[in-house]
Amino acid sequence: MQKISSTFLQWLLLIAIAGNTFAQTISVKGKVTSSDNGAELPGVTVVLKGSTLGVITDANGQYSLNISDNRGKLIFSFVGYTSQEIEIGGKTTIDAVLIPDVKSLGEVVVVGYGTQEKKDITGSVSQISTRQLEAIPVYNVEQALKARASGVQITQNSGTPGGRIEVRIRGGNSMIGSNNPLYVVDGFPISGGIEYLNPSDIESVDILKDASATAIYGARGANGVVLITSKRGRKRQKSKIEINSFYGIQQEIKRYEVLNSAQYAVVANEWLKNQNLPAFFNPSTLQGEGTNWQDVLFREAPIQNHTLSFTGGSETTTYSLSGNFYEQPGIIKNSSATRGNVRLNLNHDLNGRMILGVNLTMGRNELYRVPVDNTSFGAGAYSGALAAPPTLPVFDQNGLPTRIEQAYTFGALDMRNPVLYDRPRKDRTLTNSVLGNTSLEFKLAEGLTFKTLLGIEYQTAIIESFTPIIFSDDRGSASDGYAYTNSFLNENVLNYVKKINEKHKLTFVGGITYQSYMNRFANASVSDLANNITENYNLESAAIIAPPANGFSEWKLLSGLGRVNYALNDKYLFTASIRADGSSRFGANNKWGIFPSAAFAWRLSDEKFIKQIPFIYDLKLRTSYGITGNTALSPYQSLSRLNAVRTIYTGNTEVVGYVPGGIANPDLKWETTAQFDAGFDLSVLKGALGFTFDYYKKNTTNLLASVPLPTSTGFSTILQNVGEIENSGVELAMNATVMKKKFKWDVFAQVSTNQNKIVSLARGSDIIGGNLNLPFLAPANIARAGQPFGAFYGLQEDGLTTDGLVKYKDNNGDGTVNSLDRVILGKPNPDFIYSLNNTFSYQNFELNLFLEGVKGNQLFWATAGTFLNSYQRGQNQFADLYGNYWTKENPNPNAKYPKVSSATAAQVSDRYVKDGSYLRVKSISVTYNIPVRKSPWISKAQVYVSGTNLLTFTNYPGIDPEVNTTGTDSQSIGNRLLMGIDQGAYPSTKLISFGTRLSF
Amino acid sequence: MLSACTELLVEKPKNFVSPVNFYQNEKDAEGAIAGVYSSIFPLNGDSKNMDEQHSGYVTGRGSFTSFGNFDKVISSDQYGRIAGLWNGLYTTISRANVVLNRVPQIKTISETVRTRILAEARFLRAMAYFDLLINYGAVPLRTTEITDVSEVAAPRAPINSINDLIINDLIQAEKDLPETVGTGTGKASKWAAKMLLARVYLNKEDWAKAAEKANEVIVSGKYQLVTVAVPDDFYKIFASVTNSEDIMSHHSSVNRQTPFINWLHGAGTPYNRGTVFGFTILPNLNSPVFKNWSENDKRKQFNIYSSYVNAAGVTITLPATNPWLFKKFIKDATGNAIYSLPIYRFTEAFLVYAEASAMAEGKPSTLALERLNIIKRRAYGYPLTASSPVDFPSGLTLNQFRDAIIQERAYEFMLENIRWWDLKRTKLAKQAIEAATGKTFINERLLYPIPQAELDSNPGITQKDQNPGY
Repeated sequence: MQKISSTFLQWLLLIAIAGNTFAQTISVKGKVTSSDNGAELPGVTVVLKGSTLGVITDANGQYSLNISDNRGKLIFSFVGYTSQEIEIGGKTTIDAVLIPDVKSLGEVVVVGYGTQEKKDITGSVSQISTRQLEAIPVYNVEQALKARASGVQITQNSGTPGGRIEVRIRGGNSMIGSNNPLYVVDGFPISGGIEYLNPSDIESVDILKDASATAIYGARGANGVVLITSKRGRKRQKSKIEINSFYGIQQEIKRYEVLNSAQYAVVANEWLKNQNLPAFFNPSTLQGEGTNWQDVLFREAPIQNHTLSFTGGSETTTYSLSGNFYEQPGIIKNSSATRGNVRLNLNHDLNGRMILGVNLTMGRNELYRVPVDNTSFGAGAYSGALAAPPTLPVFDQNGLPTRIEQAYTFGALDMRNPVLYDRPRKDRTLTNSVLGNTSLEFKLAEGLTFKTLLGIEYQTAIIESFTPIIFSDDRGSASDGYAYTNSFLNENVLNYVKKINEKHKLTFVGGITYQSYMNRFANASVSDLANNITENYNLESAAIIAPPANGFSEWKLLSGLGRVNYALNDKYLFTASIRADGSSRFGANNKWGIFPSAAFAWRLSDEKFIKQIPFIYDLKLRTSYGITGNTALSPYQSLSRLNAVRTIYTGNTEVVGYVPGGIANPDLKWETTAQFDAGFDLSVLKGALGFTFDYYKKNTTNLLASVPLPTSTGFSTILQNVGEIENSGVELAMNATVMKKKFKWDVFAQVSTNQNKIVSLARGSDIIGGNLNLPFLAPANIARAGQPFGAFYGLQEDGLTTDGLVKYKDNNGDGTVNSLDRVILGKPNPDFIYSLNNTFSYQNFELNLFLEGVKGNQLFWATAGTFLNSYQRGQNQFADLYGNYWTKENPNPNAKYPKVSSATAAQVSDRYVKDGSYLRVKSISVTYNIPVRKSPWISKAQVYVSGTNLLTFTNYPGIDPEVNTTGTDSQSIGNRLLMGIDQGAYPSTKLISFGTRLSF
Repeated sequence: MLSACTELLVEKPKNFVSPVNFYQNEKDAEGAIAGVYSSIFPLNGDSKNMDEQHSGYVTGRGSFTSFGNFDKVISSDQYGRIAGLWNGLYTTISRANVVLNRVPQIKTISETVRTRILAEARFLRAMAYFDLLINYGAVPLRTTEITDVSEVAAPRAPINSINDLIINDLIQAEKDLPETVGTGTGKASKWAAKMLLARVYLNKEDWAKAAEKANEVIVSGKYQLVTVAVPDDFYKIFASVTNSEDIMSHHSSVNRQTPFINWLHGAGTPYNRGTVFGFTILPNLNSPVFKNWSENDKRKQFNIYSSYVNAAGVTITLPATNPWLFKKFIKDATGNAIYSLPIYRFTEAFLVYAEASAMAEGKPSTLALERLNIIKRRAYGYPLTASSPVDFPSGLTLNQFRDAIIQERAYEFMLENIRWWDLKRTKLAKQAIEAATGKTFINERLLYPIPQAELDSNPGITQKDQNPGY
């Protein structure tokens, strides 16, 4: 709002000035662009120095000024940019390139329930612009935020198209509640995901990190808040059409090298020998490579993205309309992610006292999935391809996929030919989403506005699957499911700004909000299909029809909120906020939570003693403290419940029974996070170099924990608010304009640390993570007081026994090796994360180089438990095994791999704990601005080529160190503890893309 | 105002039943006991498979292979299955304890139904404790509904007190369970309780009582042996929903099937239309059980196969990789595993009587010998009550007689979860498994490890209490 109104004032001023320009004779004209992205800048004030003569650039950044004299200087000034003076020197065409003001005193930051000028901010807020969001081709907005802001760690589970992205702002606070930030899109707190948003549609993303910024979101603020503001038109903006398109090719970032046919035969024979069985292969007849199952599985996959947008505005109405299509087939066949999206933002000023607003986004997301992550043997497509014996052909003589699990007695029975995961098998989710809100803002009096907002978030999804009949003994299966969610929002917010004799500035925000949410789903699944023709479209024709499944849940949140900002002399800034949240999800004994915060900032650079230091341009010290909450509970979790089960007494007729689902806890409530933050914003060398530094410490108490019960109680866990986690860290971000002449070089860099530590746990006892999937079936992570959540936990190896099996250390010295000998083996959290973004520009060329990395974390390379386990169950192995295993002939106790035999079951040990540090050239791109100044109909034309993930420096032996295949938002502590696991991850991709950006 | 707002925030769930408004009437009581029965079904088949992997007459394959390494303690890749068995049994106990706590408080219920339901709960609890006892040894004893976290600590109780609870429960159940359940053999009758009591006494070597309970079942007149003329006649027992010798069994439906049958057969055989996992249980033809098995015993032809006739009428010989497979348990013509799996069969009463009475009396009585022979005659297709050429002779020593019974039980109850228990209780495990597999057997294998999750979270148990070897 403030941005618009300040522009409006400039207009008024300049319209008045323009009245004096009749008598002039010389015309100077030109175009003003931004150094940042070459975009034309409308609304720039161009004034002849020392006069009242001036104009404002039009929607294309063009201006024309009539002056009496071709001497003197023109001053170009614009909010958020450094003003520039240019000597006229007889020229009639003067173009100006304005450099964004790093200090950006006028820059507006979106905060909860309002906006603030950056100079007035007392909290810790990072802002990310559309240009950064667009830099890398991504499906999710979350991915676009990666490494763009300090204190924000973003990790993908794997390279699965449309796969899960984990966002952690200043570490994870919760053990089983969500650790994801609250997303607020154009004022609407989102209850689901944001995958239907088009990154190109976003004007800015403001990330609220400290309690002074987040406490206004109360029981949902503890994980940080991400405010997403979509693009909108500006008043009197000439209609603009933009096209933004790219097309690219993806390839797997790396592959595992597996045994070839000849090597496989040797290893299989060795296994048979060690099992006292006769050899099967005659290795001399099996030469060469055999089947390369990874070639069968992978494909080079195209990726494309197209956005078309229309923006503009009149005196009273502004609009922005855009459409988007994104398509990313996966590198593994039968997987893909597709998004279509239409967005409209419309604002209309009714009469100067009432402003109507509409924000509407409609999205369609389609995912095709194949099982890959967390699989071993044939349970997934990739593990299936890695396990498949290279000695076997892909198809048998009948043209059917070879039944690799039946080919050999010594082969693992749960192997599957990976082509079975290709079409016509189907696992598809189609989601339609609508996010809309309408608002009406009243200007009640000078400085006093009231805004009421009604919004709805609405999603429906079709979730369908079909497993065809391929072999004569296949039965086939199919399912069809529908999910429906909606969330209704009403917000009523009063805003009051009062200045008292330029010394005191007071801003007050107060409001009452109500949000409700409902979720329903229904699913039908069948097996033993009549044929493959009707797939999942005629379920009633199947022989076995499973009982229908459906679900219902809802929650309500009623809140009151208030915030006061007080600035004294623009130097001493105070903020206090409070929110009361009443949530249906809290237990009967704890329905209401109160969340206060306070902050103080001191603009030190306005003090005389600092002003004397010449190189300091701007300096602000900040500190804050506040309490936020996390509604970690799901609906009905505080209630006790009975579950329906079935049994059969007579014949084949089922009878329904009811059994207790657990032990109830009516005291359940939010998790409480108290956060302290202290930091400074420093800008030196006339704003060419800026730093933002923060130290924070968060203590989360009343942790919601599914406290393990001895399973002999009949239950595995009970839910309680117990325990404490601490996250602390420092964040340093730097902006610099290293060179700004003909050759320009801008740098953004950040480094962030976060130490996560469990302070206390229920009953002081460790919580052991859930079991890893096959082949481990044992936990690898632990929650233990004093350690980070999810620390790796297991045995330590001690060479091989005389029989060639792995020997483990008897760490407690009790003479036997058992679970008591498990020790902490590492941690999944990095010591620090860092990134460096360089933009070089020279004339019409621009080169962007974006590096990011993490340092000091470990990963549990569970993949090796299947594919480097000495052929334990007869699946193919990674090539590294060959020649490196223990043999009777060469009983080396330090052989890299144990004896090839069925006794070599993988145990959770330090063998699989690997350094996960990496440094990655995340993206490199070259952009060429086609000179289009002379074209009457095109105002900008860019072409670019970009490479993503082309180069990674790491010691990690798996495919990609950016991995967390077991990453989950589940409420099971066991599942949540499974952190930093890499089991058969869907490979990440490297991508070369070609794109263009056009404006008309 | 605030209270009105808070009223808005009260949750009214629509999609589940709350204990607050349940346990009110007879129908609820029936629902509660159905929940207990639900937990005994071998829904993943692991517990059945694990037993058979220890039988000696089986060779394991695939993910069950490592059970066969008898010279080592159970490999960690099986811990999930070991814990699954434990969790399942304690789920039954916990649900039974809820019934025993709640159902007596219900007002609207007929006393007959109440008595029967409480007896069923006691029976199912005893059944679960007996399985825990023979698989894990001493285990935590839980006899009340747990409603608070403060009640979770429980040490391993002495085996005697577990036996006492089992026997007390069963004596009560025996008294209160119905005389007959008709074709509803998914439910427990008085006779099921007697069968379990007989097993418990056999396990305790309380021979006289074991014989007494077995005898009561035999002479009850409730059950009859199925007549067998050709091997496939055994399918009247094993491919049926119930039959005249079914005392209690796991009933199935298309939506509740055990995968156990998948683990016996290869793909595409007529016994198993379609297979998810393929075979993991292969006959170990080198074991004495198979080597000494007469071809005239119709159970042999019935139990295993080396070829089959496919849908096109062509005889297919099983491949060299798995020349023989089991076929006692099969799916129906539509490929569904909906035949009932035996829990207690009438024949067991004969063999328990024979063994227990001989042990009690120090020598086999005529009746004991006759009852052993009845089972054998049936298997060879001879009339049950006339002496036959295959009869065991009189004059066997006690040891010879008992060995004959244990051998006969292997044939009669193959794949019915009897053999491993027999080997353990008769202390023959080491000898029999070494003879069958050629591998060394270590005694640590006699008990499964207590699951780690229990050790980690039960304050009453520490690692020191773990079974030997783990």
